[in-house]
Amino acid sequence: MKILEVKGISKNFYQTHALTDVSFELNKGEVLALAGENGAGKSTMMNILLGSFPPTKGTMTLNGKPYEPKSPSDALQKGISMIHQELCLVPSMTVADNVWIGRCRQFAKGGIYMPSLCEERTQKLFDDYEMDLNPRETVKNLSTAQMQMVEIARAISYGSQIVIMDEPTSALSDKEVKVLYKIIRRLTKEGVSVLFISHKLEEVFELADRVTIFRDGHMVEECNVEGLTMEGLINGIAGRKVENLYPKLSMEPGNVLLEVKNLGRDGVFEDVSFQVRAGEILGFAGLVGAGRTEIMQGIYGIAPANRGEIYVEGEKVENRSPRQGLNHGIAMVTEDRLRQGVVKKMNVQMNMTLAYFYKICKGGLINTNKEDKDTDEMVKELHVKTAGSKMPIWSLSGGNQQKVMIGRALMTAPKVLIMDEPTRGVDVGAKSEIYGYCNKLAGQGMAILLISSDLPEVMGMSDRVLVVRKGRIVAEHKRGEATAEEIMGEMFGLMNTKETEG
Amino acid sequence: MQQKRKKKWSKDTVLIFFLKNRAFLLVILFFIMLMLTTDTFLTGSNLMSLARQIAANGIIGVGYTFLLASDSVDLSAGYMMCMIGIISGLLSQTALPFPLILIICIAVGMFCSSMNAVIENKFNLPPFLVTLAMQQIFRGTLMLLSNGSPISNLNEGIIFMGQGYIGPIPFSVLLMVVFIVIGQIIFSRTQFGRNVIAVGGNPEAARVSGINVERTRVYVSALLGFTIAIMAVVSCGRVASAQTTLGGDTVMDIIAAVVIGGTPMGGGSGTVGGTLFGCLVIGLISNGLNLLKVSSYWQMVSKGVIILVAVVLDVYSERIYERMRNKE
Repeated sequence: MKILEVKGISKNFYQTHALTDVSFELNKGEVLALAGENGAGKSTMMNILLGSFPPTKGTMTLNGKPYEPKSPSDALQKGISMIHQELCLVPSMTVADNVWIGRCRQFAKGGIYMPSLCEERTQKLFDDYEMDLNPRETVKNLSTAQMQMVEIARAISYGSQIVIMDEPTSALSDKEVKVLYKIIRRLTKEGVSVLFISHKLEEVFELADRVTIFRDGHMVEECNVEGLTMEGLINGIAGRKVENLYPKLSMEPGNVLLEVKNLGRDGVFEDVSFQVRAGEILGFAGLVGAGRTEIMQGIYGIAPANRGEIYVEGEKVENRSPRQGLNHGIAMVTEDRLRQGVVKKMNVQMNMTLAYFYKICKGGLINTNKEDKDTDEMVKELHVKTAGSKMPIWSLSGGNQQKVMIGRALMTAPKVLIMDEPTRGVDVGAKSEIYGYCNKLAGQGMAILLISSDLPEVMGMSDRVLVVRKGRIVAEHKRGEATAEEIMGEMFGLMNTKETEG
Repeated sequence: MQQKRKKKWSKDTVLIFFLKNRAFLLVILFFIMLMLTTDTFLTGSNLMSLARQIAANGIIGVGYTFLLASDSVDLSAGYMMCMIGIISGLLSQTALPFPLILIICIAVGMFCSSMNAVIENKFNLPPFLVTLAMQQIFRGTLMLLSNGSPISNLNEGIIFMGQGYIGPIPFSVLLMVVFIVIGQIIFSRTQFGRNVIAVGGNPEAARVSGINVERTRVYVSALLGFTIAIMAVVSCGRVASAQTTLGGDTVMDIIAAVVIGGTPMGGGSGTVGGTLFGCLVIGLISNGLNLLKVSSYWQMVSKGVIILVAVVLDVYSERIYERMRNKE
């Protein structure tokens, strides 16, 4: 049974055609995945559905009636809610208050708001959907993954007919992803329809009944997931043959560039020892919150370790600050691009040279000629799509902003490059380009530490994979030695794991 | 259709152009208005007094541009300036030579101002609160030092800084020009300037990229303290006495000038040259209203309105940028 019908939707932003003649249908109780690269038009379509802006052309029908939402709150009232990709929570309020935000009146007695009623309702909701959260907790004390769960709870709590999910799993660990899967299955059983956007194609196969592929603002394909292959889906999205998403790398590793011995920080990670050689890509697998990022921050100097030793090319170093890390030839591409990466008000060039400009100062003045030249070279080298290096950074797509972040690290000419979730929220095309750089850099003799929550990615890219659980390295595998299931088991601590020494 | 699109697109561009150059355009507007409505505006003596008035604000404006660009604020600047003025007055009563007096004043300014930043860093407090408290401390200290009465008989050097001429140009105006030029170079061309913009734009990203955020903030405050000390001496010299009421409104005027000039509240970008035009706008308002014989109470009201408009324009231009961003 049709619940939503979208017919011939086009959206122009002045000269740009964001969407051209898009039509699709959503049936009651089904999961429809929208697939496509960044900038393919998925988010624009969602924003039109939510009433953030009207379409230039085309009509929408909801339950057989014309549907013209004027604003997101109008859309909510008509039965469409959304889980946002970016978190929209009030950090200082409790989980319960955040879930029912804007709807407190229903928990009032004689005009006075009763938090306990609200908390009860929230607990009931959490119990219903098997979410492991405390309604009384203040949101700012939660991890990113838990915040995302609050966001999900809020979207469900409206009792909408259609729930839109924009990359709901990008901040979740596998455990919470499983909870989300359960939630989605339960919602569909109750007749709720789900529109699902994800860059993780495995999820499309796992969850969706049908998939609609967007490319350059057009809807290029609509098909059932049954009978679709991974390769077929990727080719549809990219519009070209992606032969192998994870290009194999054959490099003879050189000297040990980085060695870490018994590194630890109180209460965060413990007894971390490993070596990485020139030309080697060392992967770190683990759940969100297992301590992978913290270990890297300890090595680079963002949050220095307080035990253990770090050796760069056999020399003992101490990294108490990022500047010291940089001076010892270690650079890091941080996980959180918005918070720790991009400086929004700076242009592409200043963003790219942020970790490097102090090196090209002459008598206190920045050598702008050299800065211009080096930036242009790096923009070319990394294929950053921009109208020029003086363009504002926000004019770039997420994938290209990520390339600028990688450029920032590379400009410092590091020996060891740490990449923390370099492909998060990045489209397939930019992803394979980033893999390409990794291989190229390793080929030039750099050592790369790669953190990724995308298991196929970290397994496909790395020469060796270290598995981190609860702040400790619990296993080590050479490429192809272990299956995804084995590594997954080690991440969760389900199997007997052999402890490794360095 | 094509025509319509083009028109709309250029509307935003024109708006951005006006907002970006708002200080410059306002200066021209005020200039023409005052030329037409008064006959005393374009006289040499009036322009000279206008220039000297601006000079005082312009010097401190350089320091304050750095401060706002680094996403900080200092409410204590006015009373700190007054306190340093009193100190310079007290030192004038001793046999100390002028250079030494100047150095002591600068040292006090840099120390007091960087204390603000040190406290903010150490206890992770918002600058607004720290400097609000410090303002009271400076105010009390200056009253203790002066017993509440102004000090005259200032050192010759101080008088020269406020009233002297080099050729036909007042020394203070020359000083301001030097500060603006050097300030602009530091801001846009040096490592320090770049650090300041990065810290104001995204302190976390700056830290991760190897910039010492805390130290940068202290240096910015020290720079502000330096300009405050210079301005204190110039202002005392101008009236040939160290007043206890000097600088009460200074913070308001300076913030207004810097924001009108194009450095946003919230930091991340800035322009020292723009601050000069911001100071001109503020100077022209009080000068013009004086010439038009408007009561000083109305001057306060109109300054307040101008500040409000400046901040609204600031937010408004952000919104237009946002709109252009969404179109991408």
